[in-house]
Amino acid sequence: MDLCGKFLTSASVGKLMNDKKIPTSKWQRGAITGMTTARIGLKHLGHLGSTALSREKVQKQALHEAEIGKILINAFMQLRGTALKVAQMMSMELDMLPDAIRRELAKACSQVTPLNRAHIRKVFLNEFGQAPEQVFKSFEADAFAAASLGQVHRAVLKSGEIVAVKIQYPGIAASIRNDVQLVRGIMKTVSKGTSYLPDWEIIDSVLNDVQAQLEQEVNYVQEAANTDWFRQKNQMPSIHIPLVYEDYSSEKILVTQLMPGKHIDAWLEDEPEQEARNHYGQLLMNMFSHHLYDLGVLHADPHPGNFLFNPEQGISLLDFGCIQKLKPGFPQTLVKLCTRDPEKIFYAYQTQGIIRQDLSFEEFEHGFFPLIEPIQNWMSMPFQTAEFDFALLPPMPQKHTQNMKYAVKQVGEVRQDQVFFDRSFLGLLSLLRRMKAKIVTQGLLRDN
Amino acid sequence: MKISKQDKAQTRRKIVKTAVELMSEKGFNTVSMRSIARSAEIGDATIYKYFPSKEKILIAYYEICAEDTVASLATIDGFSEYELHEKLQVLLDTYLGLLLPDREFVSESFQLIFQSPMFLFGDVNPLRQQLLNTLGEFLDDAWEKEEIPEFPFQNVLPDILCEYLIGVVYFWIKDESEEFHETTQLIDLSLGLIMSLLKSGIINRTTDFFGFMLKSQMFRILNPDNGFMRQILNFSQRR
Repeated sequence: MDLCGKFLTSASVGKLMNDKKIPTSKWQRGAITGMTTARIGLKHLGHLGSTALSREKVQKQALHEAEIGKILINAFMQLRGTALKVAQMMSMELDMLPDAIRRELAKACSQVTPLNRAHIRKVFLNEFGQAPEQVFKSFEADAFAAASLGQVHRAVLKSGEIVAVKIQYPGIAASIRNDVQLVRGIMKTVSKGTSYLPDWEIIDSVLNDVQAQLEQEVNYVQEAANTDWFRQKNQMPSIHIPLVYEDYSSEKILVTQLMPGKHIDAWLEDEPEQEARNHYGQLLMNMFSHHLYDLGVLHADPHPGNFLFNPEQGISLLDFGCIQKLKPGFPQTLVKLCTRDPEKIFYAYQTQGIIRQDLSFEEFEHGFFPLIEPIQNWMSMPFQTAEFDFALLPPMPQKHTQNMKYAVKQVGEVRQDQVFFDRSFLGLLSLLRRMKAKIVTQGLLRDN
Repeated sequence: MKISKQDKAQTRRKIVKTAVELMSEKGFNTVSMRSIARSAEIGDATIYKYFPSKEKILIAYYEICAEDTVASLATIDGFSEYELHEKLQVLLDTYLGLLLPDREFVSESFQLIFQSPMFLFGDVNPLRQQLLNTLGEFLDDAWEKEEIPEFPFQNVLPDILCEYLIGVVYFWIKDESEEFHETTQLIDLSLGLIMSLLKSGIINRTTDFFGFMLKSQMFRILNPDNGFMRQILNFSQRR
């Protein structure tokens, strides 16, 4: 079986947080993920062999995919909770499913069964032995935001502070393993009956990593510690990180200061001036650079809802459930990676072990590089000039499925640092693109 | 000396609590009424004034749990505003929460009570009555607020829900999963299903359908030429 058969996702967080050994099994070594995936075109794995389809056939296929998406969603909706989250993660973050299926799954994001008053009461009684109305001065029964495997409510502490209360779906942490197993069963059945889903080995491997990430995400104690850490280390006065109220927090409940500001969608609706776009865009980019080079830790959940644009010209950064500590030296290789020079890229890839160690530069330049060139050019575009207008950044290039198997065979180990960087960076670029911000990019990626 | 109602209730609870502790430790069969009385520090004969048998103590345990559940629901702020779904969920959670400290005892006694013939007869009624009343109130409220449509035979719904509740407890007893997450999932899924059944009006349509079937078949049965009745008549005449 070729290496297409397996890929590792961004999510092997658990493994990496402890700096454990990089996976070395045959399959894991061949692993590809996140944007690395996009670089070599795995995005279209599900469409392999479909390049020569007629227009009619393409439409038909899209319809069929949507149908499969609906079948999957219905199955997941029955399971609720984790299963749906798993489906979302597979579709949103891993970019591995055909578009129509992804759209169906995306619809489901907004349909997640909310926690009702009975659920919330149960979680509070389990965690604190008291109902929310006893714990807080006031507590809003309706959530104002969804969180991973839970939701966020507004409340007022007895001391008067207004807080955001993140509550985890009861029983979800304990059921992750089982639920992933259920999704596995459904996906296996569906993947047998259709050629539109990626190979089973890929799905299987993705699910393992999804499980690891979910297990990290439901650990609110860890998230509280991460938030505190970022808050203490943050050196940018315009970046605001919420204060955690530890006395009110537990494994399943996380209470933080309620941060002011608007999500990007609401912010864009107000049609902000170009100056404001540039200001906030620059702030986001500088923050990314600050995290990379000064803190050596990435906020690795690029969900747009995690950035709030506040009226005081600042940005509130939320949700520290998924962060990644970078290995020393890693950020310094990025400057080489964000160029268009095959030699520098070859060097960076080799240093990081992304490509086989025995791959010669000639082979890289003529065989591998042409495959990654479109995406490479795309992601390095903002760094070719001292200043870059993100309104000019085209959508991420997608089509380059030819010679896929060849490309995958050239892949060596996947550095988890790279995976997380890709994920955050890709999230940042798409955010800046939506903002149409014009920002100074010079000097933001450094080699020291 | 005259004992107040409150004192009586207290003693009754004390006996049940002691019995549960003893039975959890030694098992139902090895614990005698006498040992319960001694541990509860009441007279050997006095205990019979409260409970004629050990079985009645078991039933009283569930009765007390039901009482406490209902009392606890009454303390929840804004509970009357909850939807039927939420009310049922809190009822189940509270009931299971009260059973939790005595899970071992519950697992032994539950089978004894609910799988015994006495359950089918009147003995267990007091236990069910409390829950039935509460479930009835929830449903009346939901009908009044037009949360769910009315349908024929709706008076049996509290009974069905009561059986459902007992079924959930039975599932929970057997649930070995971490934090009983399988029970949580069961409640989520089954309550979701029950609510969509009740809200969809499918019961009405099904009843209409069976009503129609019954009527149409009735004509066939009563058909004087070749109906079922005619055939029975022919058959009996032949004999």
